[in-house]
Amino acid sequence: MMPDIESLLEQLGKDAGPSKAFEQRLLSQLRRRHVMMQSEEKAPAHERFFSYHFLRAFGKRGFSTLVAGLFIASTGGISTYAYTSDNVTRDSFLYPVKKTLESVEKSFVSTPEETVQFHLKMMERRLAEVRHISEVRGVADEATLKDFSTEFNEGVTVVAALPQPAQREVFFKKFENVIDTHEKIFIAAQIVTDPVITDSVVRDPIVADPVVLPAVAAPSPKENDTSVPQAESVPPAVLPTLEVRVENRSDVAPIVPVPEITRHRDVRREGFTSPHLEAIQQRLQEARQEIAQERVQLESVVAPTPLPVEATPVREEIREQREVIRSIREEKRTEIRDIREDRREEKRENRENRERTRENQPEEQKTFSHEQALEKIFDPVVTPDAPRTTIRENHDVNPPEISPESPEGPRLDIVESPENNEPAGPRMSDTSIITPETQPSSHEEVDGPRLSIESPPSETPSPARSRDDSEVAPVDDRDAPKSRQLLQQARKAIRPVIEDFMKKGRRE
Amino acid sequence: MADFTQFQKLYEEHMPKLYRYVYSRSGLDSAVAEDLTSEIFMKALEHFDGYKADFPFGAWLFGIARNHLIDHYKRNAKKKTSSLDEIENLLASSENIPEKAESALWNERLQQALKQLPPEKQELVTLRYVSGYSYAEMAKILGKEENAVKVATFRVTQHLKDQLSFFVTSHDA
Repeated sequence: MMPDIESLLEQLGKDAGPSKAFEQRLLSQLRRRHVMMQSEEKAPAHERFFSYHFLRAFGKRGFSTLVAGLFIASTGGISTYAYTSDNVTRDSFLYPVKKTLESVEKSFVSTPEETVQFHLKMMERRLAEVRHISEVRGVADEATLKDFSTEFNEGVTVVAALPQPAQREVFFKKFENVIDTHEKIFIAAQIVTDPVITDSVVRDPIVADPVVLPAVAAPSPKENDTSVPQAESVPPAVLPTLEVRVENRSDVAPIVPVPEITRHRDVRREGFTSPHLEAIQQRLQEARQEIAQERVQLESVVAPTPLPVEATPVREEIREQREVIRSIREEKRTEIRDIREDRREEKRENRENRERTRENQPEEQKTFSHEQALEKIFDPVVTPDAPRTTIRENHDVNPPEISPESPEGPRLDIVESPENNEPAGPRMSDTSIITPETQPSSHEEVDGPRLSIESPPSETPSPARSRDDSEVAPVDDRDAPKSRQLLQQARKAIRPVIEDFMKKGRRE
Repeated sequence: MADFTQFQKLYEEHMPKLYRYVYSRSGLDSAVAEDLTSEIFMKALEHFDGYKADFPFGAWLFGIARNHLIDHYKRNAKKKTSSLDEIENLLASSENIPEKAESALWNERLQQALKQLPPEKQELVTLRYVSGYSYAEMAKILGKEENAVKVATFRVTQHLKDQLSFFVTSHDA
């Protein structure tokens, strides 16, 4: 069944109503905005000249930079001094320059955080000016203090509009610090102007160097007026955060050290009041209350909802599963650790065995010479019946080629031991046979017949020679003297014939 | 700058109506509606000096709201909101699920029918039923005769009824 259209639409409107929290939040935002707008309107003419809306029309950054640059360039060091010095106070002729430069600086500020920092800086500057004036004239300047409270109000308004509570708290702490300093300066100024206290001591609470004062035997009646404790009971003391400056020392009674907090309380009890300070403290208190309310609201929104009862078994189950997984992991880890230890043990045993076997081996086997290696390679005698052949190297560097028929290779002499005439052994009848007597003694024949393959020295054979050697059978060295004799005889026989022939030729 | 207490009174009077209007025109998204309402009231505060007391505040405020919503639609032309989410929320939060589901269904149908209307007709329905303005106030806001507004609203309501009766007949069939 179709519902009534009007009631459906009205219901839609009822469901769409705003929440009370939103209403309150929006109202407080509007109030803050209103305060900010009011403070912008109340700004002096030179500040409005450089105000955001004005500068936006001309290109904010560019215009303000140009103005500041021109100003500084035209006035040079004077403007720099006016801007930076705390001695340039309200009664100084450079004070308008200082204020103008500050307004230029303000025009550069865009984000809320920068704005708050700027106001803090300005508050500190005003305080420094107040301090300077109170030091010079002995009176706190009301107009400068008013500027201070204006900066404070603007800064606090911007801080209250910041979205993050933590950020607001940080900035409020900074404001509190500045106000503490402000309070102390006020008290110092009051002490300066107070006839009762001026005679005794002037304190500058900002300086933190401790000052040691001697104890005094008897207090004067003036100290008793300011409810100072018994002077006899005061030992030599260290004043923690005070710098003491004595004025008119000849006129006054000795100084009695008093803790700083007591002194402040005493001054207040005597009727010290500062309208600006009270207004500022009240505003700060309001801001704190607002923050506290917002925090309560936020906490109520963000507060974690407790899990339903049904979720508890699930949690238990998850915890059990986690424990099971943890125990399995532990088991696996111990297994891996055991395996690693076993492997390490095996390796250690193997190493020890190897070392043991090496120690047991004879010395000859431990060293392995090049000759032995060659012998192993070229002496593949396995059966005792087979004739053993060894390739003996005449040249250490170039090992000989095995084939003696090779025309290119080095000449090889194959030596067969005379005992071995068995058909199983290799027969090399074409090659020159060297008897064991002509062999060098380095080669020892231990067992059985053996063949030695010898290569000539490397410098003697040339390719041509080796080719000739391959075609003609090698000449035995024992025939060389005979041929020489024959050659000499032939020369002797030929010589007279040649001499006769030469004589005949000369005659002709 | 004008006194804030005066602005506060007007704010307390018109804020819920404006919020409902914005809520219904912003795809029933409460977060978007809150943002837009805040922005509209900030604008109103900034220009409150230019407001003349003889002119109805509601009409002046809704003029700002309309312009701001137009800007918002232009900015978020590509974004679309799904009313199915609202139905899901209703289902999740309700105890009597069948009843709520049916009302949510009718709400969905009504919104579909409203979306098919031209903007000026949508505004008539929203101002009358959702925001809860009287015909006289509507006439001032819209700058029309009261009778003309009354007749136009009646016609729009009849049109919506016809649109929704289609669902009843199709369901019965």
